[in-house]
Amino acid sequence: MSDFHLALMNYVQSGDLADIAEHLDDTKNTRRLAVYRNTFISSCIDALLRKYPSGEKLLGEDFFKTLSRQFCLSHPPITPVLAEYGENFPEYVRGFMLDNHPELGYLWDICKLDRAWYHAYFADEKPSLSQDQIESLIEDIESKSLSLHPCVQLIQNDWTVLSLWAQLRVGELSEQVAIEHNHENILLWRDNGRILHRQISEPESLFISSIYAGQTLGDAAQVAMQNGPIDISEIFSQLLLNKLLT
Amino acid sequence: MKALTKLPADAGICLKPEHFDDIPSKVDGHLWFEVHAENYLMQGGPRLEKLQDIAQRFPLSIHGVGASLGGPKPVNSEHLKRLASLVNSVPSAAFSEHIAWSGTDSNYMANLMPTPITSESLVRTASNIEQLQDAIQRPILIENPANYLTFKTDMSESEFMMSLVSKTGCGILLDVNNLFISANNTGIDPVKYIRDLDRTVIGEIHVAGHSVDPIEKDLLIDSHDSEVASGVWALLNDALSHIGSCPVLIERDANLPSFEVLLAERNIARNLILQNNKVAGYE
Repeated sequence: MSDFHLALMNYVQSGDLADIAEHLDDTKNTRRLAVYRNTFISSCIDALLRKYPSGEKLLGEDFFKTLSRQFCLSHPPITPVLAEYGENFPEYVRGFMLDNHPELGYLWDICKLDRAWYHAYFADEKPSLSQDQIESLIEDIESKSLSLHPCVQLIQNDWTVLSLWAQLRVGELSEQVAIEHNHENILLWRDNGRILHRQISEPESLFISSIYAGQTLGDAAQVAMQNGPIDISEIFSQLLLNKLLT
Repeated sequence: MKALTKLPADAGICLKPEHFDDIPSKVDGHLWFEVHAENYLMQGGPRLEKLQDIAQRFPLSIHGVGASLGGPKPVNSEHLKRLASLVNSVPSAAFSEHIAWSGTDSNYMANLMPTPITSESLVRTASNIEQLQDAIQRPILIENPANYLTFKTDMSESEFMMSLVSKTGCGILLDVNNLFISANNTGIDPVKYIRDLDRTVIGEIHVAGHSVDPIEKDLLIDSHDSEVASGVWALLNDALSHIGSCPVLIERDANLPSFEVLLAERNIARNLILQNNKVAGYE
């Protein structure tokens, strides 16, 4: 990398002018370099605002931007596609809240749901099973393996925030919701361009994740049933009905 | 010479997903659209589907912001593959990129950073343009940057741009707003800059709004968050009088108004194109 590129990159990410100064033809210009550093920070914050809208609504714009600014300075983008920035933001939020605002520990679950929404919305398209394929499944169904549609997202939250998130996603918080420190499993998917979600049980989540892992339907069912009560035919029908099996 | 673009010599609009459903069925002339490549590199979903539909009905220009042509290293090979995949899946009439860079390897700055205007940088930038053109199998247009300050150089920017054209066979996207900003911020002569370019290689023009820096009041920022300034319209008029018939795009990336407002700005650009065509006898 040339000295110029290295010096400019170092300045933008750290604010340190030491190396870039020699490349300017007028030292009065150092102040104007701030445009590049400001744009770096504001572009990253905007990308996070777009990807984590519920997180921003919950925290408020100022707090969210402060948090985002800290994140972007310690985690600059790793690809040229800004829309993909901030994949590890929820994990950062978790650590930050644990250290500074434990009462907002559930924020990372909210951000995980925003991230899942993004992945479901922009996932690849893939044809679902045809009627013939569905009918051919019936014989010796337990030995068959299937795939999930790329839009399927399984999330396990530490806090019961689904109802809160669903309200934030469509507007502002309209009614009080109780948030408890209990696991919550959620299935999220795309249907005709809309993102739908449903709370599922732990065994149902295990059944779906086992299908994703390539296990036969029989093995997936067994793993799920060992974890607790589950109506396999009900969850399997739901997956078929929503065209989530391929 | 291979045609640089298939865009109509009319005015177009930078299209955002927020306006996908606002496009009227009837508009004057040959409306065309431009989108940022990096907003459509996803694997699937409704946004990409909608773009594919719009590209069947209107000429579409794909405008990259992330190739880092002016960067210190070859273009990211994964990014090139994704751009080629987009160009193969969405019919497009033009492809353009900036003479700028945003990072390298696994370290990016979400920014259009200045390219050194030097003989050494010219070689790397030309190689990067060739890499991109090879990947998408067509000539691209390269866009002049908005400059906020001056760095050490060994040639003028217009000379740098024309050298890239002659080395790679690419064309130029003349961003009149960027040129207006650079002239204000660094004191270059924008009219001379335009005259220094070979008008036959200019395949597209951009105009956009800019803003004044809140602290340094004589510094203009390329913010794309307001209507096109009167000085930029005047410079566009001058550019068209020199270049003649050329597609002109209204860019707007922030503080998005209604589609009708953008359409009204587009019609101002359209009238300038028509007036200059008449003067130059292109009709």
